Amino acid sequence: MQTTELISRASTGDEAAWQELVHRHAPIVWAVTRAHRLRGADAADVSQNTWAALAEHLPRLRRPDRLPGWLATTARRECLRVKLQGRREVPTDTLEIPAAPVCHTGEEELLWKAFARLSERCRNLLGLLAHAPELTYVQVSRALGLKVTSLGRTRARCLDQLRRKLTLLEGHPE
Amino acid sequence: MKYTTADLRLLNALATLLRRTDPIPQDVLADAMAAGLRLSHREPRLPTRTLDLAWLLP
Repeated sequence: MQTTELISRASTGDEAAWQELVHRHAPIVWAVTRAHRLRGADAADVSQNTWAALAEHLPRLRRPDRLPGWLATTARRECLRVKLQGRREVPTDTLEIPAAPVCHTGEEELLWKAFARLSERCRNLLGLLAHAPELTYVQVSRALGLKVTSLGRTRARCLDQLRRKLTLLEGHPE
Repeated sequence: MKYTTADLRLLNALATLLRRTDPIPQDVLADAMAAGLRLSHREPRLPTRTLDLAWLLP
């Protein structure tokens, strides 16, 4: 079912449609919280407030096709609000990269290793685009606080670095 | 944004990995699901902060 129809149904109280909206788009909100170095209760607060805001505004959405961008931008604002409150931000030097997942294939393992070796900026950018490649430059810029003028180059560089690291790892797997 | 087929394949593989590596906690998902009850049960609106709706502009 198209997002537009899901929004229409959810707006009239169709719980299954709302749940499908959450299922499809929750990773976008989560990726934005991670990019802002929020963990635990803070990340949960951002997620909850973002979805509550959507429920509030859903019946009045004029551009359903922009829902991913709306969620990313709203999550960003919630992240900034939480950080301004001076709560539990994880300092950069203690920020962990998630533990290596159980990879189903050798290719997945190499991809994970290559991704983990990217800069934080690239991990944040590709981590968001992975879940929402349809976002525009402006929407990504708003969601991650990056300059829109350099976003195209940054995206290309991050994808290129990921490929280069994959190639290196394929030649010399650890 | 424009992507090549190879870009999209790489990002899709990354999305699959990230879902397993950094899964959204079940309680967080449950809260998100519960937010929709306001739509179906016509619950009274909560006091909300003013949201910037600039995203609606072209």
